[in-house]
Amino acid sequence: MSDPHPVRDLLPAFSLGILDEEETREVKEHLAGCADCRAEAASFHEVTARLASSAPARDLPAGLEARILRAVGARASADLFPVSAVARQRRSPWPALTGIAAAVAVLLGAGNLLQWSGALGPGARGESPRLDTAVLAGTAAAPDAYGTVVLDPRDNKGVLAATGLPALPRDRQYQLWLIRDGERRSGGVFSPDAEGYGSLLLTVPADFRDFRSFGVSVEPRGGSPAPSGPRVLAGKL
Amino acid sequence: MSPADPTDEQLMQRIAGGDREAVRLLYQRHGRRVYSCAFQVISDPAAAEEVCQDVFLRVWDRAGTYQPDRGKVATWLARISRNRAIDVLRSLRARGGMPTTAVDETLSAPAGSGADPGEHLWQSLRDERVREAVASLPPDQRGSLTLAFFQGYTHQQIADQLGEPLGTVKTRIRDAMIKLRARLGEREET
Repeated sequence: MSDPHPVRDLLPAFSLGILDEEETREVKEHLAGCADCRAEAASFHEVTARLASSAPARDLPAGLEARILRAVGARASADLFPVSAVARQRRSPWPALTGIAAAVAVLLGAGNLLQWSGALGPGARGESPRLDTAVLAGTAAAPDAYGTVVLDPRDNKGVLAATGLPALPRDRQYQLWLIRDGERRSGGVFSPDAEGYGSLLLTVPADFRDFRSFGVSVEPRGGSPAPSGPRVLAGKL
Repeated sequence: MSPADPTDEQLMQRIAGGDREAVRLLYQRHGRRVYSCAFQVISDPAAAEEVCQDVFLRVWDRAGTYQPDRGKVATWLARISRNRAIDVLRSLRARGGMPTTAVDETLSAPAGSGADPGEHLWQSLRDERVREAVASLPPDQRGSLTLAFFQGYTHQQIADQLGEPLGTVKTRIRDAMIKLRARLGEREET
């Protein structure tokens, strides 16, 4: 009889942040589907946090507050909307762009950069974007997941960028679904990187404007004809 | 302008709504804790500062995903800070660097010598209840916990450091945390 809580003994070490990559992946996978173990993990997080919070107090470096507020300000004006830390894009050739703009630029390449940077340039919050955007929230299966779908109606191209994605076993991938009136059309498959970030370039069908909703589910590697696994992200335009 | 100070949860909601002033207030309230927590792991001011900045940017990005029923804001911040600092520490080690940590001079105590490598580190913690709880641990549990908590070493690395079997180290750390959880009143000891 298999143990319903196989990672229970690893939870204290998980809260200390000392598990190796494989064990961490195992624990996160199990926690995504087990509320009891999530509660247990939370109790150990409290212990670790209590130890960490009682660290000897150090004086804050001068100017750190200003630096942080400047960094937040830069992110606020470059993004159309708050996104998860989508791009610590160390490999991005366009470091001035942040967040969704960098993700999109990296995916689409220089040829489209002017087109995209014009659409995604700084502007006051509340200015209507010329792109269709959908924010996807994590479900109970992936409470820390967060994603964004950005679609350009001019050429039916789009991009999905998501973070906080649980690691997957080797025989599984995430699959994006475009949803309308009960119909679910695949937008493609992708795998998360080690930091839980995943992205997908999509070409949407010509009638994509009818697809108002999006979902991401766990499917066999290569994808499924229809959603079969747990849903991790959902949202609509 | 409300006369009462906003709660941490209210600040998080405001940050999720794009309120940068709320970030400033949160920093003033918790910045020292976040920075000190990072510094405890990696005793380098520049690295700790970068971790601190990273934490508050992450708060800006993810304030919308914070759920109050899953724990206090202060706990959330301490976890993020500690985990980020451990990531930085590990990547510096992986690149062959010798990052400065608080424990460096204490690790030379040989296993079984009776010396308690981390004692002065634990005694420097600000929370008296934490100090007492740690002091009440059996020495071998405390020794393994020291390497885990202050160095972010994996079970295998701790086992190698101490010359002990892997299973023994895992059990000691787990038992230490269970005892601390009970002593700190987070839950009845089972």
